[in-house]
Amino acid sequence: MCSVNDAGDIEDLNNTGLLSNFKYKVLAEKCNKCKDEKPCVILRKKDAYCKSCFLTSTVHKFKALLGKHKLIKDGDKVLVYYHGGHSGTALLHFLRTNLDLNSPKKLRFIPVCLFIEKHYFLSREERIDNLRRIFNYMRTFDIPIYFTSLTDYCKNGFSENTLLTKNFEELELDNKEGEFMKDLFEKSESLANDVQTINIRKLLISCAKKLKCKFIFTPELATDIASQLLVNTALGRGSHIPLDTGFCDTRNEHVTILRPLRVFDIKELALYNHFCNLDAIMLQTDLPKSQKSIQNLIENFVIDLQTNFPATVTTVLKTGDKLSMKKNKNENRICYICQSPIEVACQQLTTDEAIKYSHQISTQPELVGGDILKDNFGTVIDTKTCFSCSRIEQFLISTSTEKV
Amino acid sequence: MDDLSVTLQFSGGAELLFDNKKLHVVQLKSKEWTIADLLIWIKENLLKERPELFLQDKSVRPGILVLVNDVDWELLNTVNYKIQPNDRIVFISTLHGG
Ligand SMILES: [Zn+2]
Ligand SMILES: [Zn+2]
Repeated sequence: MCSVNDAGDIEDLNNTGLLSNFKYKVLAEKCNKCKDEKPCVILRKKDAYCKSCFLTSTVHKFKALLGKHKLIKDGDKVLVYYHGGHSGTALLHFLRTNLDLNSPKKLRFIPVCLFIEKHYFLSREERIDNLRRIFNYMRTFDIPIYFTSLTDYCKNGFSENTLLTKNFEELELDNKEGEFMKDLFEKSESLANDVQTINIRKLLISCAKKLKCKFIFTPELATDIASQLLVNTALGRGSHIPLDTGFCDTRNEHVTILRPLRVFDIKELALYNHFCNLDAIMLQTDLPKSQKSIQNLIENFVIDLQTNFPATVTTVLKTGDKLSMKKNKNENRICYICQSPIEVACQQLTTDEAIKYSHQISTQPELVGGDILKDNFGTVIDTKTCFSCSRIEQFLISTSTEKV
Repeated sequence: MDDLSVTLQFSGGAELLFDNKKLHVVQLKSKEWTIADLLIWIKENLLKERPELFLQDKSVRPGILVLVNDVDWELLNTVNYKIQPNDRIVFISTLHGG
């Protein structure tokens, strides 16, 4: 089986897995692209490039993905969600160099960066130090940066008035503010991670609106996308896969989220930065990864795949890209927590409905039989959340009432 | 035979394991050195604590990229590469945040 990827390279999917076993024997002599220079990089254990072809094709891949979708118009403002690391640096450099081009191929939109402070588990000094480093770093790219706080946003009941500022010193960094998140994470890490992902998305959209940005760039890499796809499946968000993992998320009518790094892996971007002499900022941003959540387990699994069987991650991505949303006639039924369309009853029983049905017949023994099944859907349709968020809702309610 | 002088460079957060110092010029006693030997030397001489964050099974931990004079070590037989005088060996961690 062959397929053509975004860079226009032909990949032989059948051979890639096996190649890893022979990697010491079959070492590339020439660059795959120019067939001339000696290669200096080997990607996914099979594509060998010389330095100049590697750099050109990396930038090309980024621009090809943006160009293919042609969503952004000249002069549009784009909010760039920056959270440090190799991916953030490469994205900033792609933007800066392509905005500065003196050719018709130059990018013509206006980027604005956003950093979301969410590191309540660090000391105040460490947090301020992080913010200062980012502030100074961003000046080298000459892209404006705004700061906001996730815990502040949650504490204020997701208010549009949450502080969004260019001056990081204005952020309130009271360690108490994290208590609520800590409680959530102690109860169920999987659900707390899910809640956090949803809240970050909401906050991004709220900031984009305030800054009059029609688009948001988020920095997920191929492995992040593959993990998210499997996480969605595990958490009962299978029907949201195209929105949560595709190139664009159109759930919000005013702001579209784009994922321009979803075709890259971390090695490509780390080496790109190295060859461009860019030093990435590594923040101590995450809690030590535990083995207690579905998200972390899946992420470890996918990273392990990427190391040993990189073609498998590509296969997961390509399979996900083939999934599409079922066209709902009832499009205006939107989950109030995650803003995804709520599944409506159709001819075939969905897993969601099957679970609700078996719950009902096992708790209310008098309701048995096909006709009653239909009637029950009537009540099921009244729900304000999607299947997965109904779990989150119960979890949030139970956590907050326990505190009182 | 003279000592072998090599430059080691740590980045992407890997430097945090080496006193936050990115560049180390080291002299290795004259003999044939492979990267596998160098990794043991690093463990004994430079890596003060938590070697498991850098090394795994006689190689580097997965997620740490290695380049010799800006060439991916996967093209150079990885741990079996024979170190040459004045080689610049770069270790880039991809494990510290995206
Ligand atoms: Zn080439
Ligand atoms: Zn939902």
